[in-house]
Amino acid sequence: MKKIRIIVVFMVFLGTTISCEEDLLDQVNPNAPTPETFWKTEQDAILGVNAVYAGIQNRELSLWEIFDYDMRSDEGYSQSPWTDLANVGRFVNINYDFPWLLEVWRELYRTIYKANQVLENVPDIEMDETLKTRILAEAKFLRGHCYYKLATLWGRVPLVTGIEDANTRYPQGNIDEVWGQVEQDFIDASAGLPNSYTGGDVGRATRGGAIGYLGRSYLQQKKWTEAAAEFEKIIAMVPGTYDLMPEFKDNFTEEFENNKESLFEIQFTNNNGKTGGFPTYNNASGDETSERAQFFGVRPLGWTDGQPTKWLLNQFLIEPDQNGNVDPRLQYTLAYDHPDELLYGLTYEERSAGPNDRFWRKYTNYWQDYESYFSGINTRVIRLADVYLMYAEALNELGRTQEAIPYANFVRQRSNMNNLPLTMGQEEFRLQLRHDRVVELAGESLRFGDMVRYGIAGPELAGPDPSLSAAEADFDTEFQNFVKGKSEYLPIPLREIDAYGGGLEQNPGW
Amino acid sequence: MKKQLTKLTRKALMPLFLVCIFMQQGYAQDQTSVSGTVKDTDGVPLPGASIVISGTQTGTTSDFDGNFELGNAPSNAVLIVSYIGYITQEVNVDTRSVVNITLAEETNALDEVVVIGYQTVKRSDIVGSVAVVDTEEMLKAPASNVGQMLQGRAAGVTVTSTGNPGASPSVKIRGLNSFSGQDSPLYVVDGMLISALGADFNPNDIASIQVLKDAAATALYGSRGMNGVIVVTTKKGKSGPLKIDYDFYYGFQTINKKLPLTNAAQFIEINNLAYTNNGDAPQNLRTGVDTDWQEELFKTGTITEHNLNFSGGAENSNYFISLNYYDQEGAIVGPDFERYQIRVNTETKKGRFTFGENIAMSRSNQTRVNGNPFIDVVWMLPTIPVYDSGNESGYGYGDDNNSTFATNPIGLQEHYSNTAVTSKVLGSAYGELEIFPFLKYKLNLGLDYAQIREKYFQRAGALRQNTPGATFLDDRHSEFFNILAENTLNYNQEFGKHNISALVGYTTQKDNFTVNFAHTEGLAGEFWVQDNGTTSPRTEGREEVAGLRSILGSFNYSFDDRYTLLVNFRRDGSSKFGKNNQYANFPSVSASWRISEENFMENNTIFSNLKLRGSWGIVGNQAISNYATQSVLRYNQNYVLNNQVVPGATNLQLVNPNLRWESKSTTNFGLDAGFFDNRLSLTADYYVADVKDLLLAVPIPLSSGNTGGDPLANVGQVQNRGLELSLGYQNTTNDLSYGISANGTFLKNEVKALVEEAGNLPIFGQGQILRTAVGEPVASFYVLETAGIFQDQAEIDAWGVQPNARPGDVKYVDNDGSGDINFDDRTVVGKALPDFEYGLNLNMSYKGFDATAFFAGVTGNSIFNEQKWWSQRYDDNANYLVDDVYWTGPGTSNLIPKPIHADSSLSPTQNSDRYVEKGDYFRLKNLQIGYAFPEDIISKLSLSKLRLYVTGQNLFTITDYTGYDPEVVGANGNGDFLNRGFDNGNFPSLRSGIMGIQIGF
Repeated sequence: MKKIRIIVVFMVFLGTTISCEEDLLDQVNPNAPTPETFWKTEQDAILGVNAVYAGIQNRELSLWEIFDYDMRSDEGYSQSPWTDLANVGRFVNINYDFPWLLEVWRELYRTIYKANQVLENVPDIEMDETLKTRILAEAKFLRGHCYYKLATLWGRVPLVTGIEDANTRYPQGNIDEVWGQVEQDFIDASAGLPNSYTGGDVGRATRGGAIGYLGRSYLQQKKWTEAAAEFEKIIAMVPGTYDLMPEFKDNFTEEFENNKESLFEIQFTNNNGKTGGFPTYNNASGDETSERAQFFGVRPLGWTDGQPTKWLLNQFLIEPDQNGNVDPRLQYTLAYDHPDELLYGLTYEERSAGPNDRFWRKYTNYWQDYESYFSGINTRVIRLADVYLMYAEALNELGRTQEAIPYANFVRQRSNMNNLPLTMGQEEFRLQLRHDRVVELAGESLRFGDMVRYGIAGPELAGPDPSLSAAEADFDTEFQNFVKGKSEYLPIPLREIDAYGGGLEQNPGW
Repeated sequence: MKKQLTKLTRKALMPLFLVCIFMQQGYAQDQTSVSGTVKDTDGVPLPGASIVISGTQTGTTSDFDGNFELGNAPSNAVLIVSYIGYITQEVNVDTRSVVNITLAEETNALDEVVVIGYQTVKRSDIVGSVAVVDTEEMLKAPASNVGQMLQGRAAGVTVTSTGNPGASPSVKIRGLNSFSGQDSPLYVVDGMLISALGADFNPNDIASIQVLKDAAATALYGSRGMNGVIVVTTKKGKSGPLKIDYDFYYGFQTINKKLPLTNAAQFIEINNLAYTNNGDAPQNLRTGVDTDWQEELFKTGTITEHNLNFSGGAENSNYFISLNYYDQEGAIVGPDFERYQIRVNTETKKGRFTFGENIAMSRSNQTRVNGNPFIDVVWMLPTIPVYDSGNESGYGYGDDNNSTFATNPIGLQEHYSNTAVTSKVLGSAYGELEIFPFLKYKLNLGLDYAQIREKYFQRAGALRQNTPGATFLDDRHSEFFNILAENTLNYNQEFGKHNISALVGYTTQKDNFTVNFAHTEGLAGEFWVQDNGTTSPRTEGREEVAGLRSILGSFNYSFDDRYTLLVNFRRDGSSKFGKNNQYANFPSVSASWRISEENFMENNTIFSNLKLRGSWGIVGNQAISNYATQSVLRYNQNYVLNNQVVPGATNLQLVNPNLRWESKSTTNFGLDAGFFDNRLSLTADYYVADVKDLLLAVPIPLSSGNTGGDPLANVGQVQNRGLELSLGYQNTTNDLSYGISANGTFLKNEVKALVEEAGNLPIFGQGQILRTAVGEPVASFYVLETAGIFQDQAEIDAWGVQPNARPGDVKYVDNDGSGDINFDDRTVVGKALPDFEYGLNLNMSYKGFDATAFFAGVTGNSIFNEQKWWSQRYDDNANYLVDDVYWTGPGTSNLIPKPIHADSSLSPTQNSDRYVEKGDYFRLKNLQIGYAFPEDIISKLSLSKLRLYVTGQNLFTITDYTGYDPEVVGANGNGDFLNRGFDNGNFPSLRSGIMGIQIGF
């Protein structure tokens, strides 16, 4: 019996001790801080704003948006066997939630949410005030960057400016309100950002970037006076802060990143030195590379998911340079079938490329003999050449054509093109400027916005024979499906309209 | 003997297993005037049977050879002879000095004692809806795990299994009850509560399985009872000398079916046509190669199992030890699974105290299927060789002239490696103290410990067109340590015709989880360890703890075995929820009326048993991940500045801090009837189960900025209504014994509410093929409807809604009348869950021969056939089916479109009813013929049992489904509501031929 008593005591002991862990039901996530415990230090503020930059760099935004801008312009088209992807540039979207539309929308708003967290939490942190001002301005800049894209891709979008709970439905802004948000963010950002950075901060948003972006926003709304005023502030910073690079090509390589011509870039690096495999993101030693080169590179090295149109090639062939040679910018913009052309070291024939195959070179590593998911080339968001041409456009639209022409010529001179005579008329210069923007800025995701601003996007761009492909026709035949008043914007994802449960209107025509 | 037993008690507190094997028994015996032998009906001596003189305390037990001697027995004595599992007999001595007794095995199922969780009851006293599985028949069909064996064995239990070695089948009880992905039943193995019972558990150890279905049966499991409970009890030793059983089988397994894919010549013809039809030059396809990818991938697999048991016991203690080895080599190149398990179950009694433990330690090695080979065999082209020394990997894959983005399915298995090693300890130890004869206290301690080491690596070189192939290695190490402590007091007392039993309990469970992950690249040679990596190391890891604290109670009152009332209650508190919703109550009430015990039934000759049952109750589901109510910052939201990576941190995921438990209220009506001495038995259950507060990710606007899944909310409602029938007939005449048992499940499932705030928007599954919408069954196929093929331009013009179509294109139906074809035209064309499922078991034995045939089937469900989608899409290169007659001109085909490569109009790639097929099937799951050698032969061999058998599995299937196998779990093997019935390369069931031997020593 004694043994039994011992056993019973042992059992009761076990039963009670095992059962009575007091805080058993109070399990706090041991893996990460909560919003209540974070946002306390200067370091937290820096981490917070860095995460916003990570948002604009995210591949689902920085990569997919290229398709939404460049494939839809007359510069690009897609032969991707993935029909839904190719259809984006054909203005045919059966699936409004196609990832490359929906994810761009989604990532823009994720980035806005991250920016809003900074804007909401950082003001309460006790820290260096100068740094605090800068960080808040950076967040504003990045939010403005996102709303600019929303304004140009979708137009009327929800204006999310705070961090309420999941049930909040922010109201859909009309087009003026959305642009108003863009303008305000860049105005606020330009007030708090420094002109430049040193050391480990190089690459952050600058005052010039904010001003340039603000000017671009005005220009897109045809607010010529306001636009010109902003561009003048940039021009006042030439050559002290900004200047054209001596060579056009230096704007699209890893070698001259964050150079004098650049107002803002999305930063990438192949910090892991990889050449094969797939990148991974958002972990302790994740990749921070650009997949752009892989997606646009020459097959089979790359996916060739988007290609330049024949129309684009033709634009370069219109006007020879001062020596009677082909516009030198062509060879850094695209590859096409002509003698001596090499595709990553091999001839057209060796690469089994067809005579109507043209490939993007801008932002690819075409001088190598391979391409990979690990390109470190930064995406230039605004550069001085663009600012010059935008300024010229604003002045010309204000009737100040003679003042405008020299700015177009600065850009032309750099590429050994003849100066435009100062005697050009307003309309003549307007058309010339449109051409100049194409050959200077092709593939930089600007052309579609330009076309909408010019009011030239329409089915007539498909040319006389829309049955030809954009590879063989002299026109971007994909425009045959363009419906004026509809195709200027993408359809708002159905998922978003559904999730709103009312209060979010689809874009007209969709 | 007494000394030995005391010693045994002492040792019982130490690891018992080894001691027990060699335990010897001797029984003190007096000289007596009555002697004899106790045997069973097969003539096997029963050692340890109890022989007591009626009305006295005098008695003895039979010895090793079943012999007994009893002194001083009155000549008119009545001997009460009993043995566990056998019908107790009363024998008149009638002045005889030698009394031989034959005990019959207890066959009256109603007196069978079954474990229904915290209590053990006589089967006739069950009030709730409980399916008692015929374990003996179940174990006749060799399989790696319990789930697979349960298929078709119990009404209301839906099991869908695959031929993937070591993979757990999908087991659902009474429909799909949750959208959270946690819709699988709770398993209670010898008192330990676990969420899954996989192939690392040796099913041969099972003594009994009960499936608890209604709330009356599951309420004591409260927050984990919603998806049903499967109570598994493992074997115990029987009193008597050491008994050794050895079972062994070996068999072959193959995939039943090959799809009729084109060979190289046939392929080239169609592929060239597809290019020409698009106005392109045909590919310069390779000639001289003709690969039959199915032939290359499929092989004859093997299945083998060794199971060795030692069992026995003394009067107050028993032991059961099993050693198990199971090995399955897949029926395709690559996957295999093997398991080693040792189990030790012991129990010891000493006076009022009972102590026991059930513990199983296992180690399993699995080579997993890599990628999706059952899609790749269709996606691959016959003009591509399996091996191609021109490629770095050495394997053939798509190139510019033989373009396909399929991955070489052989290379996936051979060149890449995906393995898992699982070490597991599952068990419980318990002590029970009889405070009074009517009151018992029990402490049950459970342990579920698992360590899983997963290793994945890729050798250098590509296996797929345009896809880089660098070497890398992933190691993932997870550890689960779940412990349970349950204190229960059990009260049971009879007052005349009144019987009262009650239970109260206090339990806690703590689940700990840790995972570490390491990745590295650039490995040289065949050294697959992290140390050999040269670039891109990456690590991940996290820890989780979850706690559950509960009180439970049960009160049962019965009068005269006729009227029974049962009230169950559990209150659970979980760490997964916020303070405001931490606790929830789960009550149930049930009653039964055993009509056959009424006086007015006394003279009826039809019913040997008739019972009506009714129950109502609420059970729940704590179907959220740990910390789901807590918002956190995420690190590693990194950026680049000055060409250096800089860290970032931010909140990504919005959470709902107000989450509650999911709950289900079930009303169940049941009828148990037995006819003709219970030779024929019928059980019927009708239930209505309303599930509410279902956790659903409520789609919040993307503009909220949320990352990583929409926040959950308790919004969904689903109703499951069902009728379950089980019918059994068993008869024995002379040497012939035969039986038939059938069960059928009718299930109607309807979604009542989703996210009402968001207009009850449907939820879409993978590839937007399945949807779950209000008013429809969970998981309905929602795709475009087609109306054949356009034969000519006039038909296109008349149709109107596809102006860009050309003759030979698929004709889609404009269901929303909008004038064009888009996603809004999709409609429901089928559902993933069957209307009716059934199982049919026939068994027969004659002298030494026995035969069992087991059939199972489903009807009313549909399957999305992705292989068909690949073979008929034409826009992207994949193989074609020989039988497909595609459109080549007016009147040539109204089923299959004109092959056009890279079509930009509404191509056949749209998900449509063209790919949704009927999933009905009827299948001979198992056929077994055995022969047990008669006693005179086996006694010469000094054996107690020798049986040989052959088994065939999946010998035939009747179905209209054109894919590999109609038994489809769901996309990527996932059987939840988002994936169910989507055959995107489901591993088909295997046809097996198995020979086995069972030996008893």
